[in-house]
Amino acid sequence: MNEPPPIPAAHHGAAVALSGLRRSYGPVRAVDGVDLTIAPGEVVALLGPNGAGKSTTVDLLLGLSRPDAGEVRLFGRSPREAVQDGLVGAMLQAGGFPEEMTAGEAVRLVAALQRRALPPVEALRKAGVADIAGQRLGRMSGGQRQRVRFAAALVTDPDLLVLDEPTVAMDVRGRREFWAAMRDFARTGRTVLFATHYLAEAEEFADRVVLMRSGRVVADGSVAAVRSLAAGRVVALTLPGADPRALAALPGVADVRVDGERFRLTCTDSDAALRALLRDHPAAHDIEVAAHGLEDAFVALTTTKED
Amino acid sequence: MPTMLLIEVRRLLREPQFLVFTIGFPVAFFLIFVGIYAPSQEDGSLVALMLSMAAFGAITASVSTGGLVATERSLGWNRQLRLTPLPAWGYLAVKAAVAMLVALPALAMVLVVGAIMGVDLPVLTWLQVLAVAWVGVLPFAAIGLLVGTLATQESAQGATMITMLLFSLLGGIFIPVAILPPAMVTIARALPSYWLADVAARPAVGGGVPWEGVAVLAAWFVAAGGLAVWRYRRDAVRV
Repeated sequence: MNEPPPIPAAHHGAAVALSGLRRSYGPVRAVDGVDLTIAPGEVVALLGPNGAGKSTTVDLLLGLSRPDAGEVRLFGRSPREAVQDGLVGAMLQAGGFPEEMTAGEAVRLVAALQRRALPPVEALRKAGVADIAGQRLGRMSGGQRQRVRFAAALVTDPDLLVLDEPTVAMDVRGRREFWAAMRDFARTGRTVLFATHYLAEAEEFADRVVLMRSGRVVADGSVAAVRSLAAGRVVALTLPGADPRALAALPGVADVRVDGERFRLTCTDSDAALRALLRDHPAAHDIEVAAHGLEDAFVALTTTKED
Repeated sequence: MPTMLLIEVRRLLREPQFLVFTIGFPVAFFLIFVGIYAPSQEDGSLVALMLSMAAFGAITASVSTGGLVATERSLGWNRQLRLTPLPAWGYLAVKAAVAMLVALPALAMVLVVGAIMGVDLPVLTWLQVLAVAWVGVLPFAAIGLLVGTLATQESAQGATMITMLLFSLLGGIFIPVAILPPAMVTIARALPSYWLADVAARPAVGGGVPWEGVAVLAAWFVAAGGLAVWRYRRDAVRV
């Protein structure tokens, strides 16, 4: 009997499987070799500065643009098949509904085109725009329009929800409500991929962060793992008259920055550094130990060495 | 797709300026020309002028509607639609249907004004004229879509205008083909705008089915429609 060829475990049943994805626009390599596998049920943030290739990746993933090389599989299907099977809902950055349409019409239209869909009213309610369903999109605020798009993405009742910079036009309250609705959606075990350049959003809402820079994935892991990639913790202390070189020589210290009598030690091993500090410099006071925020990791990983 | 068509029509009715423009324009031209030329019912020149203006109205209405596709493309509306099972031809079919619906009142209104001006035809003939003219608008709905899929939002209005004028002028809608040089006549006979008024006149003036005209109209419909679908499919990349 012939053994069937083994299926790579990572790709088997993956919600999203991108392999060797490349796309150039003229001389610009917008996406330059992206491999990414997302399991069903994961909530993943695609994080990166503007121009990192997030939107192009999203376009390729949804089949809105064709890769120069590489392959996209969504639930083992081509993007178009996945869309036709109603598995994918998306909120695009450059995806506008005509302004003369009302919110209700927009969502009803998308629902009518799908083979199966939630009742439009339910999607509007989930996105928090049921009360303005009769209003024309042209007369809404940017944030309201975004939420109508969210309703249009939800109405397809998708297994994979893709959001490109979903909260860009929203105010603080709108953001909070949006993410609350998102959480309810993710809780049902569905897969979510959102592109953002807001670190706080990635930190707060994603199980996993995929960091992009110049069309490549530069880090991929849990929020904690990505954060630790940018080296350990910072120990801050006040120590009048201390020699920065002596502090830099302590075990586990990678870098010292001086600000008057205040020192900031960047540590690879903050425990070892603290023990040695208190033994050798008992006068040190106002000691603070802080983890690097994701923001620091973000800056460290998305800044090219040359610049 | 019926839901989509319904919503599209509601959208148009919400912006009535567009409909007023597409109806008002040909009616105004008709009245002006009647004032200038004083055509008569007896020699058939009034019927001919009426059908020329009806054709002009229908061309304006259907080509402008197609031009709106350019605006929707720049909005990203077609990107949104690509995330639904709706095929490319489905979107264009709905848009063509909308163009046809917009052309209908423009056509009808010119005929009503024609009747008031003294065109006297049996009721059945009026209906035949309207029906034939309306079917004849199909190639222009397709040409409008082609303009809409080629133009950008900024260039759409100009492109629509030029398309309308070229077809109207070269097709002999404003200048009777009889007074044109032979080369221009050859060009006119290859254009759907020439034949639109001609086929619509047949129920009223007789003369049988002009097969050449039917062939020209069908060819333009197939060619422009095919190109529009091809172009729309290729347009996946963000504009």
